[in-house]
Amino acid sequence: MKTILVVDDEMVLTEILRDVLQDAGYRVATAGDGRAGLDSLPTVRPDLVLCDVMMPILDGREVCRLLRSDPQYHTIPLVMMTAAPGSITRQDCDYTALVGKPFDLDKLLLMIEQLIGVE
Amino acid sequence: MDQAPVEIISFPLVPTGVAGLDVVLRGGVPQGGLYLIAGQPGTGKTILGNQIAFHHVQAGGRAVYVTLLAETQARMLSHMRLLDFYTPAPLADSLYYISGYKALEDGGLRGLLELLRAVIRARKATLLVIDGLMTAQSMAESDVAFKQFFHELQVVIETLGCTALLLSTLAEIPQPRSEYTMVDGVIHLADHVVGQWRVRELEIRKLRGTSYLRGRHFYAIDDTGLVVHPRTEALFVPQAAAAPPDTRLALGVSHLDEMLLGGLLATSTTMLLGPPGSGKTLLGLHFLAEGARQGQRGLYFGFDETPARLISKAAGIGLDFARPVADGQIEFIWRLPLEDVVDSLVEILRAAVQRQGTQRLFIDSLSGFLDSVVYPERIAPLFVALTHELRALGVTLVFALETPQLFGGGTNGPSPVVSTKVDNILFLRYVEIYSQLHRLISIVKIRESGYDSTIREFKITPDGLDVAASFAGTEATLTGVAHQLPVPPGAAPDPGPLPP
Repeated sequence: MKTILVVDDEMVLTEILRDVLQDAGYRVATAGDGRAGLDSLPTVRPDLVLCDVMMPILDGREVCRLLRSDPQYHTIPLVMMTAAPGSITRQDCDYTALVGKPFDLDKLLLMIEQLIGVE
Repeated sequence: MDQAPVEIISFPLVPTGVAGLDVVLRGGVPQGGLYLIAGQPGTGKTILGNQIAFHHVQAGGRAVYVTLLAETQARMLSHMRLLDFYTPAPLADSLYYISGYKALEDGGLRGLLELLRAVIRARKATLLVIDGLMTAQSMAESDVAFKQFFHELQVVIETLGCTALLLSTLAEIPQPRSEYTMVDGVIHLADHVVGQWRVRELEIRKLRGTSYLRGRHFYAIDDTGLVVHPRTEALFVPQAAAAPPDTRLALGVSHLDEMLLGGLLATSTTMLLGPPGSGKTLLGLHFLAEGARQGQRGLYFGFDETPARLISKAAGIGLDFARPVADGQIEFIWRLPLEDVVDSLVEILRAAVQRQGTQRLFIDSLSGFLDSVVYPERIAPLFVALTHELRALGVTLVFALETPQLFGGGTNGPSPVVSTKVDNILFLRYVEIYSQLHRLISIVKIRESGYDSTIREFKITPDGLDVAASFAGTEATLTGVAHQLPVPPGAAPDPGPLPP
């Protein structure tokens, strides 16, 4: 089973994403900020990271840069979620895909399936 | 995928399906928002919530109705069964009723939120109605906790592509409350007394992300549910004034048409002012009959006499309405001046004009509209909006308006506001000469045209209204107490109008 790490400070949203992704056949771990998300990588070992941009402690841009600079995790697909799509570009960091909030859950699932498939 | 532009979801409008409300909302409420429907008990919140839910599923959506009330769902639905929008077909399928009280009691606001999240997902709901928000508020630990509940509910419905209506019993709000600040829109319902009236009014107090008709709008509750009557002047869209057309519309009264240099200017507004029985209705019927003779469509919109009686009355002066009515060339609409609010009357009038393609409209009398205006300060803007809209629709309007007194010196109309806004005024009067009453007509005002300002006598004959070629020999006739002019030395005395 593929594992997805959801990183967002909006707890209700992480809970919804957890429910939806689990129903779609994924194992899901959640974190409430960027630092907690990075710290969980060794234990979670995600196949894909779904990460918000604006978060306390460590924001999504920093998560993206640190992930891409870590030889152990730099190939993990990273989907950024943002309520302000114009606020982040590939010059900021090398994310895999960007989705605007609010998003269509079916389209998000399709995107994830295209990126990592479903077991 | 890397290069694909980020898809930003725009929020389509979710129609309520409630007559008039979608006009006020300019189409509906943006999808994915939280909307508070607030009002005192008995204002129709539950009816409105159910009506919108039934419409939503009829239109292909899916809805969940969550009650937090002491009233059972069975009892609530038994009330809804009496209304036209109710149908059992979607129940327990696309329209699902559940009670949220147990979840609230057991798990507080967090428990309720989890229930809502689960049921929206399970039912694939695109509309959520929560009835009895006050119950949730009363069980909140603090105002902050209640705000947190709103915030989290907002995330839930936005993410799951749902729109939520929250029904709450609230009195007039003295200051902003949590509900008002946290939601995307507020629809306020009120039921209160104004003079002898008990009126229901709806107001959009807030609506994020879209425009709407501001101010209060009357609404009614009938067998169809809520019916909202958007305020006429709020609907009015000012348009650049076009040059008045040169076309003149004759009234079919020969000497009067000569006085008007051929007739009334097309799309103008004319007031027939006079005391009861002075001939206003007959003159208006002449206007319609002459239009029919010329192949134009006419509408009579009246409050006093029934169409049958009017048609019979017109036949008595040689005006045949049977054929043009049968052909649909002339239409009669009659409303008893009882409990209609003015905006409801305007809706009926506007619909008839648009349906018929009315060219000549006679309103008999404007008092029917003015008497249904609950707030007198609305008369001026309402009259301006109505007449401008009719003009834009290519309608030439003639309306009757009674003067308060039968005789005497008073010549003011009952509504100075109307008198100043109208294009043309024809004044009908009684005058006493040689102990006989005579009917007189005069043109007081014609905008953008010349006219014959002499005062003429007219008679009601079996062949219609007969306006005399001239009227002389007396003065002060408009006061109703005429006296004979002094005869110049050497001149033959002018006897004035002969007694009939």
